Amino acid sequence: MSDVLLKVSGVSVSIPTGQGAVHAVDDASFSIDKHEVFSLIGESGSGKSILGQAIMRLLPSNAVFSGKVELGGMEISALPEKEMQKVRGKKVAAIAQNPYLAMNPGIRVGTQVAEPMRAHLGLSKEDAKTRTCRALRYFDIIPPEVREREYPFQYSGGMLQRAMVAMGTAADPELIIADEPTKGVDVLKRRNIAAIFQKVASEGCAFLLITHDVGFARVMSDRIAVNYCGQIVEIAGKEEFFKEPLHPYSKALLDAVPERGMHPIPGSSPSMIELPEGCRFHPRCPYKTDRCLKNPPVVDMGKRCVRCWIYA
Amino acid sequence: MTELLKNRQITISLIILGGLIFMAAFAGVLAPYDYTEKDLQNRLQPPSSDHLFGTDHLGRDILTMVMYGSRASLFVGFAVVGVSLAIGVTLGVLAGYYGGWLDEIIMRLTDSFLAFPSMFLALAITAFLGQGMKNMMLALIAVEWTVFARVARGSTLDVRTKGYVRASRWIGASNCYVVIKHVLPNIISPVLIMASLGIGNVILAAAGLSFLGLGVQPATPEWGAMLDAGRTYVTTAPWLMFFPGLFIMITVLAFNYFGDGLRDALDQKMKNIELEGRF
Amino acid sequence: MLKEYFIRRALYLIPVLIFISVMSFSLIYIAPGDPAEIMMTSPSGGYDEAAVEAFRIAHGLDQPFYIQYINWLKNAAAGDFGYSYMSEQPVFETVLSAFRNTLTLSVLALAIALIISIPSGVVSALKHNTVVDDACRFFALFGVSMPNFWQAYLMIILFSVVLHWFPASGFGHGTDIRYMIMPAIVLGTGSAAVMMRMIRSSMLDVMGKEYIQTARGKGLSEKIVIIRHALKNALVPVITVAGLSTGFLLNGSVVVETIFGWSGIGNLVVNSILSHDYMMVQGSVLFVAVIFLLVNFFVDLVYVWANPEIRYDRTS
Repeated sequence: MSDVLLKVSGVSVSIPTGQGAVHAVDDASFSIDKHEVFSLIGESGSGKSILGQAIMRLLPSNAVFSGKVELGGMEISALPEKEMQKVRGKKVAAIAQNPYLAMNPGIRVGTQVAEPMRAHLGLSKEDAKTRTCRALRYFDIIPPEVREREYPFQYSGGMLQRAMVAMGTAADPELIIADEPTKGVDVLKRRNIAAIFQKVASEGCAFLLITHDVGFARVMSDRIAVNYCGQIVEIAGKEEFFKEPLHPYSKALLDAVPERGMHPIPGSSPSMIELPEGCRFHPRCPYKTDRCLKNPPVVDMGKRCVRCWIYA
Repeated sequence: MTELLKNRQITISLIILGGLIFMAAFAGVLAPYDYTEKDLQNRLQPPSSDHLFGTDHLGRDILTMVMYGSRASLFVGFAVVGVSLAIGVTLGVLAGYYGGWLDEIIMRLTDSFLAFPSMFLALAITAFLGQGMKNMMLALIAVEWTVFARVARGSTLDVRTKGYVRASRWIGASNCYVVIKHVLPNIISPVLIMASLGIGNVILAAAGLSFLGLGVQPATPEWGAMLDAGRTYVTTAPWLMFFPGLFIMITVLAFNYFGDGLRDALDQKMKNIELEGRF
Repeated sequence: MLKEYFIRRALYLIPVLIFISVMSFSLIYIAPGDPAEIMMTSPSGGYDEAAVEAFRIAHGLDQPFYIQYINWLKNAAAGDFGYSYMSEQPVFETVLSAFRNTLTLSVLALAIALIISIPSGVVSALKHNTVVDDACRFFALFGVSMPNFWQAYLMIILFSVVLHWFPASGFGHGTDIRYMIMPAIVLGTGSAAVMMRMIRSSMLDVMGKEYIQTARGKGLSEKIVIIRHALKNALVPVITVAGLSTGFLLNGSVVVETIFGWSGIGNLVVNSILSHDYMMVQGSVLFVAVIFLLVNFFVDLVYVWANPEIRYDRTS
């Protein structure tokens, strides 16, 4: 049995707008193994979230999708919607960024946490309630019987985030897609979030962490992928990546963190509507050559890969 | 400005409004007959090639009456809204800008006027002032100004807290300057929307009041009054009521459509301004 | 807490109530001429000197304005709004019973309005930017722009004259639905037009919220997402919306009741004006204003209550 849980092959998403089509994701290919924590890092607006939505098949209705997504060998990108609903929440669960926005303010927390249980595990109301209380207790939301009946506004931010995680893990998914879990969160809270995720990962769940927070990714991940302007430009194991980033953008990204001096990357990210010719990073790249005007190949180097002419 | 015209709703409604205004202005030239021309031989004739909309109980051509009637309705609409706007915006800006007890007083005043359902207030005022177009207009102004006061106050409050207004005052600009330069341009959009919707409402209300016999003098052609006159003949000669009513609807529809389109085109912030259909 | 909010809002009402009473009281004074003469003018236009003199004395019209006002207010608070010149019945009783009739009609109209507006508003939002949506929105605009008296007569022509289904006008003891149905439809469709847009707006708002996407992400079917997550939140404003349409219904009642001969308060005011029964006019207008104010107050409270967040957090 293969260890591969999620396989994304050549996925592209473009969204038509009044000003032209936004090529949010272009030719994304990667795989995540069972029990693996995989981070997709990149700037805000680089299309990472869209990729997460594409895997869950929760894209806006006018989005154009191409490519293939396989989960546990099954091609979920081609499933009829009814079947896909059985996958969402059960095999793949999403954990959003802002708990106050992501939870329904008019429904009790306990009910919301129990929803995946009742929908996918077929639990009765009482059984789901018991299991919910257990889950709340597991995530330090106490006293669970009281908290279960409360509304989201009665929870503190951190607690509601943990409730969201409880909701995501409610039906024992194999993969969790977490979109920007530490956006706008201070250092202390970030550590708490890391702790919760690690707790969940230790139970065997795989993660696709979509984040711009390099430090967080470093703590959490087994493998890292770097996203620039809709494309994945590098994939590597954590240690190798941080020891020696290969792609010029990765290098620049790591140089920009405070610990290394906060060197800004010159220029600005191109608009996703009017993309540069060839390599999308080449206008800002210190190593650019003439070859870069043509689309660079994805160079497979065994355990890692890079989308750059330097290594071709 | 041209951006706005790209909006289909705005363009269509503007065309219709343009047509109506044109008809009102040039009724004298366009109308086939003279509206005072009574032809008792030909009373209550159904629509025909001679009289496209038929004739009324005094033999007058209804098409002509409808055309001339647009003058009264449009005049009342624009005049009432114009004055209400002036009063309401002034009070609203003052309330929003200065705040404090001035704001409190103006707000309570506004709320008091708003506590009366509009039609009842208009009726009450007309009852005591007496019949006639001028009194009807005064009554409608008394109702309509509150709308503009509220909107103007809200927008002023929005603007007042903005950074550039505070900065402007720190560098010594007088209140008057700040109001003119910063506040007024920002309230134009919502006020314009409310004005368009307001004209529609006022025309409906004026027609209603005239229909009840409390508006214009019986001699002047006015759509609501025409409907009142046609009441007795509703079963025998329904065209007396049908055409003026139709034109009221088209006019109000055009104004509402315009205001609606304007609101959609301008900002989602305006979501709060809902079609009230108060009358 | 809710109680504090309630008290604060109630206190806020007091100055407004005072203003309203002053306004109602002052109505006589905006009329050109002597108030006593005006109040005592018969429908034919003349007035009896003796009656006018009696009125002057009874109402202390030689006294300063504020004393008159206080006297009037004292009486009004005790339920004495004076006597109708026409019927010589106490104004208050007449107004009250007329209002009861309007209430009956309005409740039916509101029911019709809700039946039309909720499904169309929800469907319009779910299918937004499609033909269905455009059609619904246009009909709503149509409904708001149509003069209710015109619509009333169109209905009379169709249903009374042509089809003979319903009587064209009349009161029928206030319980016979055949007299109620047409005016209720006219009032109801007008309200529905206004309400539908609000419900649509609310539904669109809710459907765009992130928690709807979260619900889908949990693998719930779209039907459950809409019913369990969206509708509940989208329909909360329905209460406010229904409350807001009180104004529309009251306003509409003036013309609609007159046309259909329904003995409600709209009809009463119009007839009173036409017969110069100023005591009645003053009394009815004040009554309606107070009721309207209280209804809006109540609706505001209900809105706060229905929103658990505001209920708990609201300190301002």
